[in-house]
Amino acid sequence: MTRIWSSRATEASSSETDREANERQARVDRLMKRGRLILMTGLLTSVAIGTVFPLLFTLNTSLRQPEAFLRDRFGVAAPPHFANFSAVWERGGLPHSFFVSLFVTTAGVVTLWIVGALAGYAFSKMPLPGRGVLFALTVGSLLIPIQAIMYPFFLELRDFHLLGSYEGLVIGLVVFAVPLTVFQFASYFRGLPDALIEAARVDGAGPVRILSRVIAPISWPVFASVGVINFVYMWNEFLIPLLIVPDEAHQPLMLRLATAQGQFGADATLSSAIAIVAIIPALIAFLSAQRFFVSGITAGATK
Amino acid sequence: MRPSGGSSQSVHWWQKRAAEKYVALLFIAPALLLIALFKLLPLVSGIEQSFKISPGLITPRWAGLTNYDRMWHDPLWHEALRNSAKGLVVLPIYVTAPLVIAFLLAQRVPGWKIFRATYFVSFLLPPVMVGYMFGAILGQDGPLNALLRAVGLGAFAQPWLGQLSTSMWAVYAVVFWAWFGLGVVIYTAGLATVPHESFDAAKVDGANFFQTLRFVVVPAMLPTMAYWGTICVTGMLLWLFPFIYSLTSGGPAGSSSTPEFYIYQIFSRGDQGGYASALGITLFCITALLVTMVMRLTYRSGRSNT
Repeated sequence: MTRIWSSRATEASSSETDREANERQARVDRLMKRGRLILMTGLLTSVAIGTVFPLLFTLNTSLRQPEAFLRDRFGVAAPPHFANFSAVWERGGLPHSFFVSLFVTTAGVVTLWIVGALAGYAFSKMPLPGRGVLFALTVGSLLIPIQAIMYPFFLELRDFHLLGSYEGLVIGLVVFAVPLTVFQFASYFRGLPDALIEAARVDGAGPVRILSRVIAPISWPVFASVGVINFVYMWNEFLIPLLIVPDEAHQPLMLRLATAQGQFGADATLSSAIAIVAIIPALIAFLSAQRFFVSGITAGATK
Repeated sequence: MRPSGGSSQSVHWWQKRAAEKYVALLFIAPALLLIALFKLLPLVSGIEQSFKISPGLITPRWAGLTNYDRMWHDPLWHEALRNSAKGLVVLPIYVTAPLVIAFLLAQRVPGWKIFRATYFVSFLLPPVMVGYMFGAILGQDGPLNALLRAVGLGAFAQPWLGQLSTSMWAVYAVVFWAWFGLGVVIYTAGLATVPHESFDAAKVDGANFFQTLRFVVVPAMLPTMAYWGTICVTGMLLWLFPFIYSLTSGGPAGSSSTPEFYIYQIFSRGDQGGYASALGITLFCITALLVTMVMRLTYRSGRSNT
């Protein structure tokens, strides 16, 4: 189709028939373009519906009157029955679980910031004996997943009296995020100019002061990226809390979600309400730092 | 904080530089300590445990290769390995479907950013919640079967999660739903590095959509496909636990159990830590081998390209 254009360019004279042909061609092009656009948008929309439908179904269930739901599972929640949410909030043990998750996740992110920034800075900008080996060891420990060491990991936490404690949960979650976090900090710091550090050093600043006063303030993007990625990871993680928290008293939200399935049984309106509550904090965290989340997880894709 | 004397300053600075080595070691200490204490130590102790058994409440005793021998003959472990291998069958879909959609988004269809954000939401949902959600959707009287009945395909309505022949495939389908958006985002980032002229050139040459995809996009995206493929394979081995736990609990009859899930089942029996450790160490060897192999391949092909 596009060849028409070149042929028109070579022929200096544009006769009547030529112009007609061109106009017809342009019309066909426009139509095809519109057809393609409709086709593409249609495909993208149907995929989007496939993505959103399960979520809408759950949201709808969470807003339905329990009796009406038992009669017909596919009815629409109109008007919405918000009482399910207050019901699970009051008798589902939800506030405490929500607090446990929020506390553990926040403490975990702060711990990762400190541990990761310190190690990342030492690996990238300080004279460190055995740097290569130690860095390979740190990042390479990514290859040791929780599933491979489930039993001895459990025994060790038990012997340290960390089972069921907040410290135990934070440590358990943090440990498996350390390798990637250190890697993220180290790669970011490596891109910073040495002159910056030299200048601060000449001014008499020590490593701690340089890191906290010079490096950290200009490195907020990597802090944001590490923060939001690990908030979502720790909020959503299931297996590690399952191993560490033995009793129902201090369950984080994901375990609460699993318990609720048995507790409320056929009454899916209530367990759906818990599920909707459980997804909100991670979504908010993502939306508030979307750019940093995406840049963090796609870093490996473009190299 | 600025040192006053000129000569003392240089000595001071020099001393600091030497001392920095120790400060650097202090800086990496928390990270290394966490890894040594909660990853390396359990790994070593896990190797030791894998050669022991502790039936009942008796103190663990050496048992040689008993646990590994049991693994070798354990039909449920074999089933779990087979279920992981089934992942290779669906892997091409996992790898290519997000690429096609990302390429469509790269055409800058109006509202493409909204589409991308919508797809990504599923990845942000807690896996265990996704499992329970789809447990309702794929159930005997769930919306999927209701839809099939409504359009006259009632013969195809079945208990997707409750029968031997479909349970594992249903798990893989749900996981595909959950990871699809991440794949799209990763491919979109990869496509952004390909100069747009190469797509335009293909268009000028009269290539249709699929030809452009096959002969322009795929060759340019091979490294990203390898990267995303590695993530998917790793995930199939190590991130399915919450999905399986909430969808099928590994059933029926172990038909949707994978190695990581089976390890948990053995572990949670309480008195078979030795066997759980043997299975764990085996899983560790499998993943480590696989990842190293893929890294080698990717690294080599990356080098030959430059």
